[in-house]
Amino acid sequence: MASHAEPSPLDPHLVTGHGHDHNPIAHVMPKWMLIAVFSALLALTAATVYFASFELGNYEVLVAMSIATVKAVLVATFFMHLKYDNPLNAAILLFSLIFVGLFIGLSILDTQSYRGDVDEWRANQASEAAGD
Amino acid sequence: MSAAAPAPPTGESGLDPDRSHHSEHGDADGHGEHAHVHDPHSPHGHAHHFESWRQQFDAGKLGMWLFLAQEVLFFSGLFCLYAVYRSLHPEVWEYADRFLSVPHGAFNTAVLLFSSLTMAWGVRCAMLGQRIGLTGCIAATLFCAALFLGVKSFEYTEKAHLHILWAGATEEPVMGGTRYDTPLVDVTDQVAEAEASSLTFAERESAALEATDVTLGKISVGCAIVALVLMVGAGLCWKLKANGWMVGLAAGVLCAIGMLVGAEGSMLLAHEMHGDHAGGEHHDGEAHDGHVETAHEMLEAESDVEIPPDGIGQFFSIYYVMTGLHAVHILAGMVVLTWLMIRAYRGDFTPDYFGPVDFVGLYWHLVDLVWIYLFPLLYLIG
Amino acid sequence: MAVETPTDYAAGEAAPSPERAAVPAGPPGYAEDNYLNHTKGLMSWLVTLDHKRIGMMYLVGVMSAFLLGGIFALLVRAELWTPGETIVTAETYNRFFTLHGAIMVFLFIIPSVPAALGNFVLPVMLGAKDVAFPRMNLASFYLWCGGAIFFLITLFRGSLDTGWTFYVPYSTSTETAVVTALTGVFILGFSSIFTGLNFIVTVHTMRPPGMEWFKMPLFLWAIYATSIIQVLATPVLAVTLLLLAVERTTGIGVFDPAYGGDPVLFQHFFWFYSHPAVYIMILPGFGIISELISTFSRKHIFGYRFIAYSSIAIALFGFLVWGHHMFTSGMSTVAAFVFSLLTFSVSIPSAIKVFNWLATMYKGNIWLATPMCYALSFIFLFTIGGLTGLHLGALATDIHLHDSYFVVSHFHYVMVGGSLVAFLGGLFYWWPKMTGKMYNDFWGKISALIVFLAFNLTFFPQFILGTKGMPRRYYNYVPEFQFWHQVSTVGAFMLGGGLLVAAVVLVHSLLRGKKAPANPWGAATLEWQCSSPPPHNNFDHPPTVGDPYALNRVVYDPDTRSYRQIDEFSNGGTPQQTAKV
Repeated sequence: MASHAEPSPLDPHLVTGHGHDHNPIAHVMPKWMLIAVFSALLALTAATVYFASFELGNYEVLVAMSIATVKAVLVATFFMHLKYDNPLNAAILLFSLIFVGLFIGLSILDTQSYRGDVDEWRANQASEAAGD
Repeated sequence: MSAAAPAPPTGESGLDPDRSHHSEHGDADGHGEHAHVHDPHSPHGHAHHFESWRQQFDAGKLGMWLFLAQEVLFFSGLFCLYAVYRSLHPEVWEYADRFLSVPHGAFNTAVLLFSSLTMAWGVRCAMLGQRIGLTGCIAATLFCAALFLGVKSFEYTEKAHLHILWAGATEEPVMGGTRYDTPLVDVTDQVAEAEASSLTFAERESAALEATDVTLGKISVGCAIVALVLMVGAGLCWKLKANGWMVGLAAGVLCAIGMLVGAEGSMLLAHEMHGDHAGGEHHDGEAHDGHVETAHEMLEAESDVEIPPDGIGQFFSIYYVMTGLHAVHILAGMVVLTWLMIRAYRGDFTPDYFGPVDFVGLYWHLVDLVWIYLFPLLYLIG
Repeated sequence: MAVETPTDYAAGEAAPSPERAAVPAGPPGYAEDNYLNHTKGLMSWLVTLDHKRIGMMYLVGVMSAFLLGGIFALLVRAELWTPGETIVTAETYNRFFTLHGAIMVFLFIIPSVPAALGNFVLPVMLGAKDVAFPRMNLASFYLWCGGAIFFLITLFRGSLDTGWTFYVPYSTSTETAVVTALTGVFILGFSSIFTGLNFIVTVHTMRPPGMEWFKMPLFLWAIYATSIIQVLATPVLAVTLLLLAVERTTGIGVFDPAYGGDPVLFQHFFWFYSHPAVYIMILPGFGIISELISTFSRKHIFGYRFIAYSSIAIALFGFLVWGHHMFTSGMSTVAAFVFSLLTFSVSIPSAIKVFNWLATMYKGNIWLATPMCYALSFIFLFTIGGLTGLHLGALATDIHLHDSYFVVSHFHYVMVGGSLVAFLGGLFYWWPKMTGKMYNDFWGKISALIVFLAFNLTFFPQFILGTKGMPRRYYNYVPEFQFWHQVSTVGAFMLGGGLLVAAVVLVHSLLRGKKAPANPWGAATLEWQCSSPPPHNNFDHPPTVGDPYALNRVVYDPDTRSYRQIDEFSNGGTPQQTAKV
């Protein structure tokens, strides 16, 4: 793919971040890092599928979401360059996630609080229908 | 190797035939002012209201991140629906996710992750001015996207044949006030018939699989024809030296073949899951066959006795809305990737001007991120 | 009436009054080449990438929408002249108030200040050549047009009668053209997102050297805060409307109770956008008022940082209070309590702004030009609107007042008395810059006076009606309400007349107005440093960035009949040399 001589992934220059790949505007991701991130993502996918085969009860959600979040962080940090970017971009992403949390959190808070009323109403409807 | 590396090291560009070829091309054509020819040293290359390449890149990147923030909030509505209805009806979720095939979902996850890798690699190539590498990476990403949609089309088709649809399609409204007195897609009779005809779920599933095979067969033939026609067109354009058209048509060929391979591959995978339980090898090489068998056996053992809970249609409503909107984003991404591939092959991108590649990459990674959450939420947690 | 002049000003000549400054005869500094005559022909406008032209096209667009929405408002008020059927049937009345609300909210108020005035002013005020993404800017305008077209289609395809809020289950069961309207709003949403995105990036990356964050005029801070809401809240509206459209066409059962959906959840989704959206409507208005109060009090703005931070605080707090629209919708008491508490917090930054404006005017030399008249009525009306909001944020009183005319009056005091009046103030303020023409200041003031009086005549009776129990959106009412309804209707038509006077004043200036000098008001922000109308590239020379409210550094220059900045590096004088006359 690249036109010039490929240093091996174990090349100390690459590992220490002093490779030949330069760009005047932005940071260039070294090849080994791209491949390492991809491998980690695949391994985590396998792990989440593997864990799903156990009956973990309520922890199932926790485990699956934790693994997904680790994967998401990997993608955002490396593939999406956030590690090397203006921190403002990461702040925007975090900020949007905070608002997502607010949105989902407050909506669930409410629907959970009034679900009793709804269930009761449904039960009444059902018993009325049965009574008729 | 900091983000603010001031200038390309000397000799770098000399090592790169693509880049020097490009600058020759630009000079020879005498299109110095042409918007698509970006000589890094030309003061007029960047848009007039920016002071520098750097400012233009930073502005574009910030804009893209804001767009992504917007996308996150856009998807948040669906995640909110999921969270609310899951917390209200956990039994529906527990019951319903058996209808989703984990191997297909896992394969699609791997495909999208790989497409993210090729996209990130493409950005790297663009930054280093490697034209062919960039074009290849975009082509690979595009192919993966089509593969993903192929698998998705199998999943949707199979569910349609099993009459697993959204709430309004199969259910009678439970109370008045709606405009519809009867379900939109009237499958009530068929479902009742199937239930009356003492077929086990597994038998109905096999029947649905047969029907899916037929439908997908037709789609695959269509894809193959489209691929052939486009291939001929691309060949013609190559002869006529219409490079932009050639790359565009080639992208179409990739998409058609990707769809075909995805759909047929999923079919094979499904047959393998349903047919021979002993043979645990899948063509995609995913390393979770043992689990797949267990889940499937569980399904077979339970489906005859367990009564589906009320509100199962709602789960599939949410499933279709979430995956559907995600698929729409994939489709939009494919359109943009095709455009990007044409520009990349033409040599529009240089180490000074690679913004569009980076920005489309960011979008593509976000679509991947959404799927990273969708896969466990819909397929795994039950 | 006071104005600052340098002491080296010709002693024999009387110090110019602002009125004289406002009617100059062909100032020598008038730029012949400007954005209006830079290129010619219809196409040069339709495909323009110039933010000023896009702003002008937006202005024409939103004013047409305002006219349409205003006609529906007058029809609504005419129908309410008597109880029962006056001019139309109940069904038609439902369509009228729905279209009035939907058109005013989505087509007029939301794009009015940011997209029309903001587009024109923001880059110039910032000292930039254009917004960061000019093509996206144009695309956003055409998206607005697309949304407007869908609204027009709605009008002719059975109209819309759900109210602008599209509440389920009515919106999934009515026979009117809900999906067409939803499509329109969906498209308008993306227009709004792109505008906001563009402005955020522009403010971040296009600031010229010297334009630090805390040297930005407060209008820019307000637009920046607005843009944050536009980018983060509007997509939730988009997905909500998309889900509603899918619900209506296929019945996915997430909002429609007929399939086990939860209509209250729809309200959560809807207000998660639509409450922040009211800050999209009012925050830019705050920004305009901050500019006007300082300029026309001839005084540095009081509490600059507090006003700037309060804009951001309003934008953020605005996301936390959406539940107060749902206190009587079957929301749980837990959530209602939380949202009520949070609602009161958002009043703090708004009050900070009002106090700072008052403190700015204190001991200032108040110049009652047309924009200032609008600004003063803004402060009065917005304060009433804001304070009545507290009644509605309090759980107990809201149970009584909810869905009554008290609510109608409250949000009209904020949206019309606030946003619209601020928009008009801004329009009269920047009109000379946008068109290069001075309008008749006397008639401008008359229009402000009529608007102020007629507005109160229209909406104050509605507070009374609301507390007495008149429900909103009703076609019929008990006879004892008729007096107040008729007062309100008379007021509404007078308000229409006042706005017509304002329109005539502005249009007349286009035909007969004197050429405007570069800086007719003596403001210190950057947009007044370039000629009126601005040249194609905004600035012929890079502007000098300084304190945007250093009004003591702006002096009247009789040669150009305009105000100008004192350059401390030239012999033009220093702040110490200026004297108040």
